[in-house]
Amino acid sequence: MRFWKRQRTFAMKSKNSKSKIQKFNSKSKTFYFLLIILTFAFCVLTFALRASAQSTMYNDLYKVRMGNLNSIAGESAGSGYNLNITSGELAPGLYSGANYKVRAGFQYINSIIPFSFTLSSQLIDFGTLSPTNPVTRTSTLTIDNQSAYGYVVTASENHQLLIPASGALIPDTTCDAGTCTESVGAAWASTLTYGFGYRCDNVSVIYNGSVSAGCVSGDTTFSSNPTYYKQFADASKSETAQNIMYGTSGRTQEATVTYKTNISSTQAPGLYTNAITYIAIPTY
Amino acid sequence: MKSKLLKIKALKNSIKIKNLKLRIIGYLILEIGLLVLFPQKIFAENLSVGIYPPILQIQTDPPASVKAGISIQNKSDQTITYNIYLIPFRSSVKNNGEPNFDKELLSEYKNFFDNIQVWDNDHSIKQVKLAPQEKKNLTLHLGIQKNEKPQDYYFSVVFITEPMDQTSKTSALGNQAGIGTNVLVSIGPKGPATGNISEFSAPGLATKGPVSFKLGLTNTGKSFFSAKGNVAIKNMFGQTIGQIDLVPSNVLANSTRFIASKESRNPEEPRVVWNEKFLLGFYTAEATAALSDEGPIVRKKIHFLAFPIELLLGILVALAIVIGIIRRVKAKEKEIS
Repeated sequence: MRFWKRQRTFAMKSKNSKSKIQKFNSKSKTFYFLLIILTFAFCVLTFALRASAQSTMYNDLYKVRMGNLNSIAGESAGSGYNLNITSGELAPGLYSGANYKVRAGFQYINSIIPFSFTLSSQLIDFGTLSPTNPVTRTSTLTIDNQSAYGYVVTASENHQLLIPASGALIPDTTCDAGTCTESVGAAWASTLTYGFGYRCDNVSVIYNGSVSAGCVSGDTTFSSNPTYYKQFADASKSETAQNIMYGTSGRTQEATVTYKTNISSTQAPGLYTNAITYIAIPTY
Repeated sequence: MKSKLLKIKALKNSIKIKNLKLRIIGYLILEIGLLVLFPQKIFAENLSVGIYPPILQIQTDPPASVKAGISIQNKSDQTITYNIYLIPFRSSVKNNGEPNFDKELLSEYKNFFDNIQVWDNDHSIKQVKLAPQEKKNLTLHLGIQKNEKPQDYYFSVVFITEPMDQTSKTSALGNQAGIGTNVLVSIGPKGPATGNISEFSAPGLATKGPVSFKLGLTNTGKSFFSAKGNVAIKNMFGQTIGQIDLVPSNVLANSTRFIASKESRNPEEPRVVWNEKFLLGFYTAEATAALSDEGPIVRKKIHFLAFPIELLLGILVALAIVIGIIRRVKAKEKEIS
């Protein structure tokens, strides 16, 4: 009897331990699952935000846009003139000093909203280039113009894509027919045409209240030819920066610039770099 | 026996737990390792900058110490250093008001530029560093010497981001963003504005609206002027049936500028557009422009004929068809009768 009692107690105990083990198993699974998720989130947030907080962040998977708060006001004065600043901007209008008059802003536009220019990316990474495999990348130019009648954005490159140490070049493309330059666009569709070039597609460039056909209103080179490309004006060759975007007043006017490069099998290996300078200027 | 079996089972369970722990730790190490070794590419981006005012028109008599405010704001969320450049420009060959930067002018402007500085709190700067969302009110200071000749100078104050350190391990290009404001300086004594309407034309025969007028204002003086005005359209009975306001425009010294109205559609070819759809008869268009607030006023008249040929051809074709149908019907009626 004692034996059976002991056996039953042992069985009860083992049953209890079994259920305890099961409970422990499920609890530990939940705990470790949560731990994995938290670690993953921690790693993603820690490593991904290394690029510092910016008003727009993006990669291939996402794009985050953040708002912008803006407010400063004050008053500045000098000998013979007074200048009130409101809403964080310099006041438009006429002011004067000894022997001079200054008219700030356009007399017929009652806006103190700054003329703004945004470039979506500082670095365009082409990745590893392989022969006859054209690589394209894009960036977005955005103009917010509420204080000038018109504006123009010019673009130029400091030099062609090159390896600074060796001087090896990826030359500016001359397109399939060998005809494109910094001012003339032409078709570039063949994978056997090499070089570096760009095209610009209008998203919302405004000219006198209507969305333009092209980045430069009136110029349909790119809008009517999806394979057309141009060279960037090369500053090292004293080429004049070319207009890439032209519009009139309007908010959030966007154009997309597509960069394209393609190399031959004889291209020297290495890191090719250059810099593109975009300058946004209101018309006078 | 049974107790032994149960003990073995308990032991097995504890081993399972240990294995599970080891597996989870392994996964965690692998996960962290992968994230450290292959981090997601996040591109440094978004160069965003704002400037006000878009234009500064300065009229001065030497000697003068001119101070004009320029406000610049870094609208991105990263600290950015902008280099400041003064770039001279002349009127574009398109005569459309876009500045045509000309390096050849640099030598001509050298002495003038030597006396121009951009100030930040009373000290001259060549570059400005702006924290995220920071705005600075800078002062453009022009020292106009006593012996400065009466002349105009046109230049842009341009703020360009510094080239970025290309840390990419593959081929890449770096983008730089620049923004500028135009400065038109007129060193006096400034006489009255002188100029004329050098071109005012319309299509000789307009078949439909809208009608585009090409209006060119030429500045024959030594100082820029700010012109405004309108184009009035009269019909053959002398009634004014349309008035188009011109976009006020600065015309640089010794240059021509084509003036646009708000309806103009091509910045490369500014036009004054009369948005009238139905046109018929003889019209007179008169362009009137005040070359400055103090005048003078210049005028020019042109005449043009409008005849809706396309519409009339359409009506004639429609009439012909209707007449043809009527004739056929009548002919068939005759046959039947």
